[in-house]
Amino acid sequence: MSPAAEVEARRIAALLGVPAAELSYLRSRSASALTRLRLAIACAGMERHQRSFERLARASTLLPTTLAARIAQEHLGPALIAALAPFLPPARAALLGQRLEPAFLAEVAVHLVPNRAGPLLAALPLTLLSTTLQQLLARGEYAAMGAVVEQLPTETVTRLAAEIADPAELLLIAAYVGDKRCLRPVVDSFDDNAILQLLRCATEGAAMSALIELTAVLEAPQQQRLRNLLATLPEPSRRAWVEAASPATASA
Amino acid sequence: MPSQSLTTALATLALESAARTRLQQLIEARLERQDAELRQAVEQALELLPGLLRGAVRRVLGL
Repeated sequence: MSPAAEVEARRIAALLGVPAAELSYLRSRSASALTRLRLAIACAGMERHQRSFERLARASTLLPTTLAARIAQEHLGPALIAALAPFLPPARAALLGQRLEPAFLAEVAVHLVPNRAGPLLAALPLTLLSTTLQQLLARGEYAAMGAVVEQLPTETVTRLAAEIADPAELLLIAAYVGDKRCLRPVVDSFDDNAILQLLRCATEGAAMSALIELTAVLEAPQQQRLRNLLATLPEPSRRAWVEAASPATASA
Repeated sequence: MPSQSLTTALATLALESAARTRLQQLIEARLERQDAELRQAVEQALELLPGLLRGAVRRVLGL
């Protein structure tokens, strides 16, 4: 049982309103499978109650943002706000987001259904995303961060990635990105030193599989750049990479 | 179960039959409950609004 699976099993239990012990059998499942189930439950709720959410979104536009933010935090809670947010006009959601406490916003981010939140995420200002990123990093919410990467504009992803100093955290987030091709521009934005740090970190055991999967979908010149940098690492690191990457990237 | 993604997500977990059935029941109950929770939260929130605004919001919400 991984800590991430434990957290997801608890979240599902909380979502379903039962004690965590009742769903203890879920803890032996993979964290990513549990995250998919939790988001599928949230998505099903959004579909079933779409009319209510649409009306609520329209009603919220009648309220001053400060009052709407207060209601969001004190009465609706993060799970309902995450379900409601995709129904709000994105510009309105962005204004509202700036009135919410960062800790609350981070909770909302955890409950967001990524494939319903694209326009919303694209409308959020970088400062707000950055604040939320720091909150999520502090909580170790790598799945929540990785899940939304595909929905964010490329430039935003690149700028947010530059704010993450720890290469291990970058790799842990990358592990949860569905289509890793969206990370190609991020790789290009990293200088050689940053890439070397990622390679070192991976070859020392931190989320090696994430970097291997990413490498497999990089463009040929990007793969060549990684090969060149890998060649500058000590022999044990190079060997660790080749052993882990084979056969997926032995040709990379 | 209401959506394909939910069916797929449940299948991926490869649960024993009894556990799967129980989980499906819990999810269905959750979805049934959500509308009531939403209504309750909205009613509480409406209390915060001054009269005219409350009326306008109620109309939009169809209450």
